[in-house]
Amino acid sequence: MSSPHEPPPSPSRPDGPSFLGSVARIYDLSFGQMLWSRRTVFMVLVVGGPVAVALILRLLVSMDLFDAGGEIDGRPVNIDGPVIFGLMIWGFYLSFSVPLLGVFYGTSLIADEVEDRTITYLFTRPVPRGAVLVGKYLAYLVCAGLLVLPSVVLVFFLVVPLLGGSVGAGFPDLLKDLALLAVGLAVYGALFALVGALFKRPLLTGLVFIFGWEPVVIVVPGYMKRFTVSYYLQGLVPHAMPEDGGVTSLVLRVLQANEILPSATVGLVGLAVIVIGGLALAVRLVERREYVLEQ
Amino acid sequence: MMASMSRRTRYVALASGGVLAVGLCGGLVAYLNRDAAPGAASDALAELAFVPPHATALAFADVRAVMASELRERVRRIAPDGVGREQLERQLGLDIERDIDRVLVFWAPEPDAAAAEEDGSSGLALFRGRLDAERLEAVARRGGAEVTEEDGLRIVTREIEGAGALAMAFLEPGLVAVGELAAVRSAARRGPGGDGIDADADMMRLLGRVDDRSSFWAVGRFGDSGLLGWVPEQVSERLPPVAAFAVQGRINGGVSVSLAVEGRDDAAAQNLRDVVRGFVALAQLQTLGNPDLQAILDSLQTGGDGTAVTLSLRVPAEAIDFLLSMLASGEAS
Repeated sequence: MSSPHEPPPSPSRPDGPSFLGSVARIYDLSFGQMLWSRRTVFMVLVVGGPVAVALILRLLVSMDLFDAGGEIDGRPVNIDGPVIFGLMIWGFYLSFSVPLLGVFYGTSLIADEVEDRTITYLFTRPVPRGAVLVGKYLAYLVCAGLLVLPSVVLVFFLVVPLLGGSVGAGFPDLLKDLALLAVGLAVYGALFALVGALFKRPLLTGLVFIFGWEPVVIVVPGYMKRFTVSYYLQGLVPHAMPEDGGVTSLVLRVLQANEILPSATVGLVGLAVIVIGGLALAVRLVERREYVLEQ
Repeated sequence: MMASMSRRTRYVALASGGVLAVGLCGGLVAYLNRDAAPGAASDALAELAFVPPHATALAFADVRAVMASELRERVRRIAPDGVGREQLERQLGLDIERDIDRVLVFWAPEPDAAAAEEDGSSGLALFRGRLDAERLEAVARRGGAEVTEEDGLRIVTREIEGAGALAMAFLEPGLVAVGELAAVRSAARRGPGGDGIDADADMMRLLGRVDDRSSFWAVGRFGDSGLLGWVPEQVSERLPPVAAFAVQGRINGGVSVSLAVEGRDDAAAQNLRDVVRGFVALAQLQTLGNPDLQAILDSLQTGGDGTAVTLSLRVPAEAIDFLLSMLASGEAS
């Protein structure tokens, strides 16, 4: 695939476009490619799952087969539309879809070009190498946002009115959830863009990170959980969930039991550090690394 | 940036962005109009205009939601005629189940002793629903009620043995007030635009604690002009030092209730929390071996800090069945 060598001398391109102009050009080029890739078809299925679940729930409620009362961990809890929506955001999107989107798209930003042996064509254009990564990252953000956010809006309108919930009262929670998911996409994307630029098999590394490292380390007492994105991201969940009795307090208890409750400020600062640090390191790596294509 | 996109990419981006934009606009419209949602607690604010600023207790019930709930079905099994429903229908022609959407009840003892002498007590129930004034008047007349007109307001009154004059009047289309004659007159004089409960910061703060989605709620305050005005002195002396309370709940198969109490000071609130914890521990001992009651106690959560004491619990459908069966067997014996 690729192998690291001494960094090549940075060519001076006095006549080339500006960095931002290059980013815009690469974004334009990459967005369509990303949207129509086989990866997107798979991700449509992933974000379509919660919509299907929401439809089934709606059907069950309309047929009186689903009650507002429930039991979790042996404790009776009152479940309504907003609470179900909050749980779906936490369980389906934040814990599954968003990390998966980050892994699939983030790791492919550079790795796909290497694998397809098209990176040479990109790097020989008169654009800064860093702009290639940043442009592709922006294309990922828009593409992933266009997949996840409408799915969340559909789930919101399908689920929140159920069992006495109110769309109007739940709207501020929707805004918070959309913001949280957008932040999650940005953070996981930046982290896995770095992984994609750094590792030889980035997809495998990314999958091990989100389905191996994060779930295990997050429940182990100690400071190690600070080396996960979940610690900072899921710590913001209580701020985004509806303020209701049973289920929210249960989620809070789970988070508290695992010490996943940094303050909102700590969470936001941690996420900002990961985005900026991850992207900056990835840009630096791409600019300094020589990609030698395997024959 | 969309200039060089292919047509199908542009369509997908526009469709996806369109779903997002329409959803956000729809949500925003629903958010801005949320006060008009039927059955919402805040919707009762229209009736709050008839509540005087010195009211010390208010209670609200979303009757339609309660009547449509599974709980109502369970209660109907042991009380098919409803509790007091027939009496209200016979005397005033009000069918709670068919005619009423929601009800707001308030208690407003007159703080001024002289005014109290003149006005009497001030408890009033405001029923909102699909109400036919002519039919109600006719039913009331048949039951022996009299109809009088005062300043364009038609008041139906009937003497109830041991309770004085029960009056009913339409304050506006779809809104009927039922209570003592003086209280009905007072509410009609006040009307929308007058000095209502919204001028009372204390009560509005308590109302702010109420969740819009509650099926029922009640708020009240204790004090010189508060609930202690009608609670007997012997009882009030034994009451814990509570300044105010807000209770609310939601009904479906089961019932979820949360209660917030404000102690007179931090020490009083701490005492209350200790009392509640002690009571819960005692109840847990008493209910050992009874899974239905145990489930209620397991759901009980206490909390609060400063002067606040909070308590929430959920009574599952099975526990309600158990309690209703106990009631039924008690009545039978």
